[in-house]
Amino acid sequence: MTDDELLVIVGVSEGSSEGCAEGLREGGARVETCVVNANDLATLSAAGVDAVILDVDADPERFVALAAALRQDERTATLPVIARVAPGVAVERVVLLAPSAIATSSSSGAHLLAAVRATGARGDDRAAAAERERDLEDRLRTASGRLDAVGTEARAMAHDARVLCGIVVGYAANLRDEIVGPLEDEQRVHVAQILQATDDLVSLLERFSGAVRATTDAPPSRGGGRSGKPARRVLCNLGELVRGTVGLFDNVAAQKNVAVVLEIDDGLTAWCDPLKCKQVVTNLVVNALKFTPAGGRVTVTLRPQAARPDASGKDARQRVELRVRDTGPGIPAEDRDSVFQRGVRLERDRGLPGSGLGLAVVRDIVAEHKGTAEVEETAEGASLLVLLPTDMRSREGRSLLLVDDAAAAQRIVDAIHKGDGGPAGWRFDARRDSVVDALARCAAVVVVPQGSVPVIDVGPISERPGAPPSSRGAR
Amino acid sequence: MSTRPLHVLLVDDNPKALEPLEIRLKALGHRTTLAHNGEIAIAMVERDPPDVIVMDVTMPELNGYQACRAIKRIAPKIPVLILTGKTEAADRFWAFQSGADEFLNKPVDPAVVVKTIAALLGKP
Repeated sequence: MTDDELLVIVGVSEGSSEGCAEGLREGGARVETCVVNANDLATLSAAGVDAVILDVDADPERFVALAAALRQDERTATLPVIARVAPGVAVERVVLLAPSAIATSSSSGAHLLAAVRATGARGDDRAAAAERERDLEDRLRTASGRLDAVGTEARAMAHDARVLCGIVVGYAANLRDEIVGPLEDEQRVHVAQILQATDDLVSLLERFSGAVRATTDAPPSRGGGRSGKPARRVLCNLGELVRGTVGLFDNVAAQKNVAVVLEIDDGLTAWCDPLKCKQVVTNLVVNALKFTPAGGRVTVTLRPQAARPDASGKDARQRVELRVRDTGPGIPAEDRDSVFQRGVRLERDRGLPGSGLGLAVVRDIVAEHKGTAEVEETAEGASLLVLLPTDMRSREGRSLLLVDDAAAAQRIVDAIHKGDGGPAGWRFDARRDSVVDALARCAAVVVVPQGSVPVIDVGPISERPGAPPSSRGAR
Repeated sequence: MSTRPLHVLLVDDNPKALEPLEIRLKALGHRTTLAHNGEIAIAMVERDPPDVIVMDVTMPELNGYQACRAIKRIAPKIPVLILTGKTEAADRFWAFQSGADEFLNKPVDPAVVVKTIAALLGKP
C-alpha cells in the first residue's frame, strides 16, 4: 500500500461508518464510505481501492454476498477485507465473510489502519504466490500438451510401421511358402533372413510402443504430474462385469466347440476401473479359448477369497478371486512367471497368433489395482488366478464431499483446505443427484450435517462400504 | 483349409496391406473381394455375402469396429476377423465388444491368417 491509499468502509446505512472513517483519516488514509450492496463491486474494483472495511454492526449475513463477490472477482480477490465487528455480534457468524482480519468496533483508527496494512502485505505475498502458481500451472499444461502430442504421433508412427512390416512379412511368407513359384535353396535362406529381420523389427517396435505407453498413458495426477494409477475407480458389481464380458465370447466358444462355464458368487463388488477390469477378463478368456482344444472347457470363477486369520496390515484386506481355468496344454512350471512379461511367448506357441501382450496387460492392470496375478499349480490345463482387493481407492487424492447448501460454508472449507496445502474440497449442493455422482468419484467422504440442509436420501452413503459412522443418517 | 472355395471379403483402406493375403488366398483357390472402407464392406455383405471377413480397424468414413457392429446386425453368422496395427489392450476389447470373432495384430504371417480363417469356419 502507498501513502495515497484509498480505503472504503462499507456500512449498513448512510453515515453509519463516519466515526470510523474519521479515525482512519487522522491516520493519513483517504477514506470513502458506502452502503452495503453487492452491486457496488464494479465501483470498488474500478476505483483503485486498496482495502475494504466491512462495518458489521449487527447483521453479518447482509455482507455475505458482497464478501463473496470480492473474493471471486480476480480484480479484488487479493484486496484486504477487514471485518469491523460491533460488540454482541457472534464471531462465528462473521467467519462466514472469510475476512482477512477481524477488528472490534472499539479499535482506534491507528489500530485499524495497522491491521489494514498488515493484511495488505500478506495479500501482496498471496498475490505473488498465486501468480507463481499460475505460471507453473501454465508451463506444466504446455509441457503436458506437448507430451500428449508426441505420444499421439509416436503411436501413429508405430501403427503405420506395423502395417508396413505386415506387407513385408506377407510377401516374404508367400515366397517362403512358394505361393508364387518354387525357390532355390539360397533364395529360401534369403527369405528366412528377411522374415527374421522383420520379426526383430517388430520386437523393437514393441519396445518403443511400451516406452511410449509408460510415458504418456498414465493419467495426470494432482498438480499435473503423471503416475501409474488407474484413471478412475468406481464401485462395480463384479459378477455383472465378469458375466457380461465372458458373454462376448459365446460365439467364439461355440465355433471352437469349447464349453464356457461360469461360477459366479453374485453380489461381489470392488472399487475398480471397470473398463480396465473388463480388459483383464477379456485377455484371460481369449487366452484360455485360444489354447483349449475342441471339446474342452473354460471355467471362469469369481468368489471372495477365503478368510486368512494370519494375515495382517495390507495383506488383511478383503479380496476377490477371479480364476480362469482351461483344459488346454497348460503352462510349464518353469514358464509360470515369464508368461506375464511383455512380449514373451512360449516356444511351442510361436506358430499361433498372438503378440505376447495379453497376460502382461493383465499383470499391469491388476498391479494398478494393488492386486496380484499368478499361474496356479493344476492337474489339468492352465489356471490363472487374479486377486483383487475390494477397496483400494487411492488416499493420495483425498477429496472432501461437503454436503451443505450454504455457499459460504463451502467457501470456508475450501479456504481451510487451500491453507493446509491439502486438496481443494469439491463444491456440491445437497441435491441427491450431486451427492450420488460425487460418491462415485470421492476417495473420502465427509458429511457436514446442517440443520438447514434439505433432507436427502442418504441410502447410497450409508450403504457404501467403509462409510464413516458420522455420515449415517445425516441430514 | 476347406476344399470348398471360400469367398473372403478383405476390408482395408490401404490396398497394399492385404495384398499378400489376397495373393495367397487366390493361390489356394479362394475368391476375394476388396472393400476400402466399412461402408463399402456393409454394402458388399448385403449384395454378395462372403463366407468370412478380414477387416482392418483404422479406416475413413466407418472404422472397423463400427462396420463390424453393423455387419453383425445384418449377417450375424459371418465370422469377422479383425486384423489391425492397433496393439492397445483396449483395441482387442473393443473388437470383441463390436462382435468380432477373432483379433490379430499386424504384422502377421498370412499363413496364420489362413489357419485362423479355417478355425473360424470350423474346418481345421
